[in-house]
This record gives sequence, C-alpha cells and structure tokens, in this order.
Amino acid sequence: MMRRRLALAALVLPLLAAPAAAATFVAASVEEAARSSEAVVRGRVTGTAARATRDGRIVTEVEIAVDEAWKGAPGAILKVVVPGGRLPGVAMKVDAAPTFAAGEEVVLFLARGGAIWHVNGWALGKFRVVAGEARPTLGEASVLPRKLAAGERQVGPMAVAELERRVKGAR
Amino acid sequence: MRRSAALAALAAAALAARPGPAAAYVRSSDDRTGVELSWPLPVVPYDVSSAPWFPSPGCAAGPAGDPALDAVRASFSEWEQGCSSLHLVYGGRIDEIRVGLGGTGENLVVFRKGWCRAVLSPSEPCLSDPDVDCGGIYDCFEDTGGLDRGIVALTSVLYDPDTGRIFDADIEMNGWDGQAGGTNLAAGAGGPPDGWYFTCDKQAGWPQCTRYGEAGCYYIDLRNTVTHEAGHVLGLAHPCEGLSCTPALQPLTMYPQTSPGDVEKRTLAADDVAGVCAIYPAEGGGCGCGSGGAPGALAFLLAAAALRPRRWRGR
Repeated sequence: MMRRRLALAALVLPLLAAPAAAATFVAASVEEAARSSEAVVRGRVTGTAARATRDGRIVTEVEIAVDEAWKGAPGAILKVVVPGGRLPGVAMKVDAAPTFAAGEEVVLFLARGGAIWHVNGWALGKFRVVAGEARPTLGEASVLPRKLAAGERQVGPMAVAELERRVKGAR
Repeated sequence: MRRSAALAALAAAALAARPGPAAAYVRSSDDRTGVELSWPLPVVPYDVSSAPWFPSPGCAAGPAGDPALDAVRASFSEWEQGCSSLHLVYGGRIDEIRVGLGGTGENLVVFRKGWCRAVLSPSEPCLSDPDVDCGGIYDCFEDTGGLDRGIVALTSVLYDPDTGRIFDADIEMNGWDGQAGGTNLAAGAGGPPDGWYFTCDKQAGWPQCTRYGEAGCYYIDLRNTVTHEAGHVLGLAHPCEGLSCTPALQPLTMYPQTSPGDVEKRTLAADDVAGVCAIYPAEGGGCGCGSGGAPGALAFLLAAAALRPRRWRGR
C-alpha cells in the first residue's frame, strides 16, 4: 500500500508543483554588469505571460516598454524571457531569477540568446525603481564577495541617477 | 518521544552546535500563498549524479575513497539532528543530469562541467532556444549573460503551492570544465573562466588556490557549499537579505554570503538546528528517534519505501 501511494504521488504531484530555487552569486559591480550586457534599459513592465517549455520547465515572457536605452538600441518594446512563472495548477519559482509584475518600473541589464533577450546575471541584472531609488531583488541568492575595481560600486540599492551615470560611464 | 525528552534533545543539540543568534532562521515560503515549505515525511532520499566531473585533486576519487562524495554525504548528514526526526537517505549514484520538472523525480546533486557558452559550439541549437536547457543535455551551466557565471550553486525545489509539500529538490554545482589546467581561476566580473573550483579540504598554512588543477590549497569548499544548499532543500531560507544582514548572523550556515576558504557553514549553528527542528520536530515526526539521532525502525521503513519506486524504474 505504501509503495502504491508513493507511486501515485510521483504521478500526481508534478502537476501541482511549484519549484523554488536558491543560488550563490559572485559579487559584481554596476560597471561590470554594464560592460557584459548588450543592452541596459529603463522601462515599465506592460505584461507577463508564463508558458511551459518543451523540456518541462516554465518560463515567463515579460514585455517591457522602454523609456530610455542607457546602452544599446533594443527598440521601444522588447520581450525578455526569465525562468519561472505560474500556469493554472502548476508554478515554478526560481528565487535566483528576477520576477516581474505588470506596471513595475525597472532597469534591466540584458543579454541576447539568439532572438531572445535574457536578464544578465539573473537577479543581479534587474533593479526595481521606486521613488527615485533602484534596488536589485536578490531574493534567495547568496553573494560571494570579491574585490572590485577602484571607483566601481557593487550591485546594490542606489539612486537611479547614480545607476544611470555608472552604466553610461562604464568602459 | 515524550515532550520532556524532545525538549532535552533540542537543548542538547543546541549546545552541541556552534553558537549564534537565537530565532533568526527563516523558512522558505510560497510568495503568493505564504504557505511554508516542508517535506511531507521526515525521511528524504537523495542521489548523486554518476556523470563524471573534473574535481580538484583533493576531491578526486581514488583507492582510499571518494572525498567529494564523502563531502556531499556529510553535508546532508549535518542536518540530521537529535531534536529532529529528519533522516536524509543517500540512495547512490544515478545516471541523471536533468533537474526539476525535466528530470525523473530523484532528489539530485549534480556537478555541472563549465559554462555552456565556453564548452559548446556557438551554433549549438539549445543556446538560442528558450525551450531547451543545455545543462540537461550537456551537463554544463547555461550562461546567456556574462554575469550568469557568477552562480556557484543552484538549488531548485518542487512543491505544491497550496500545501507547501515539497516533493523534489535538486542541487547543481557549477564545477570546472576540466580544460586548461594550470590557468588562472580568479573570478572575474561574472565568475571564473572555466567553472568554479571546488576543494574538499583545508589545512592550516594552505594558501588560496590560484590555478585550476592546483593541489594543497583551498578555494570554494564543497562541503561548506552543499551544507548551505541542503538547508534550502529542506525548506530553510536565508535569515537575512542585503542590508538586513548583520555580522551577528554570519556564523549561520544559512547566512547568504560566503567566500573562498569558508568552512564555517559545514557545521550548523544553533539557529540552523532550531530551524530544522522546528520544521521536522522529533515528537511530531513519529520516527521514534532517540535524542542522539539514531534512526528508528519506522524511519528506515519509510526510507526503504521512498527508495523502492526508483528501483522499479531500473535505477
């Protein structure tokens, strides 16, 4: 009976599941994030749509209305794919990955994989903007400290104006 | 176990653990429902992928044993405390590299071998296909952006968002790709060039490793890292985030920062013990454990039942 129950659970539970995740990152500076990104934008989330992938994961496509491109020229509207999301009856939560809500104002450091935009550095690459302050949402991520180049500032909460200045000044 | 015995066991475990701030532990929860996560039974099996990896010399298996496997097993065993009914049962090596919903359901520890964009051809289709994870095919860690290489380890937990019941958890260790031994492994902007260099030992007087393949030195301690990630597997979150992280919390295994040579997280602090015992208390778990953590008969029966379905699938 026990074996039967466990076998049944193995069949049913994946349909009800919501994955969470935790990660450990090495610390990075804003300047390093900018240099390693193909585009850096300030914009607003206009919509999100989760979907299942062919290999059994869930990803969310996030539509961003770009107000300013601080680096690159990704266009006025872009779609970013991030790990995780919710579908009816099943969800995938990846704490190391950024999450988005409609209407949210953000600064994103972006990398391109084929035709798809991704957030560079997972949670390190997304800042939420509130009342003039930009704040990364590291969630469950651990940070491995390292010495940064002189004059550079580690990814962390800061004024939007300073973030913009550091991104545009990154060489 | 009677309440007095449980309290005595809790007190003994707390005294045996490293000191730390009280009641700082935080349980993982679903961000929408708020339900806290835990395994439905206090017996959790786990396996280690049999896929070969490229260990540092001190982690390499040899006639005397397998230090990396020993480190992984010790990391999980550290969470078995006398005040808790929890038992973490090592099932063995399995032929699996996929994690999460794409895997076969085992709780897996797998060593990735380098960064996918460094070891795969740029024309490899999975690199530009958001529907396919290259890691589940080639056992590398997919790094679309340069900063993605800063990820040392990643733990994914599958759970029911309405009940908080965990039923699958996997740990990915983003290890060395085995190439270019002798090259500088210093972590750059997004991490080291050929994957993270895990070491299994740290002795007095040893220097920090500077090159891949170097022996007699320390870098990212494997046991330290897996012990922390195993805490996430069990339903524990970090006790703090960002500016809320004070030095007083640093002794905790679940503290969200580490550094090369850090071995402090190998051993649970009292608060880590309090956390795991709050989730899986000895009295409520029904395992019949003694205060010393000796597994009871029911625990072994549950473990055997949990492992058996996988044998049916030929593992």
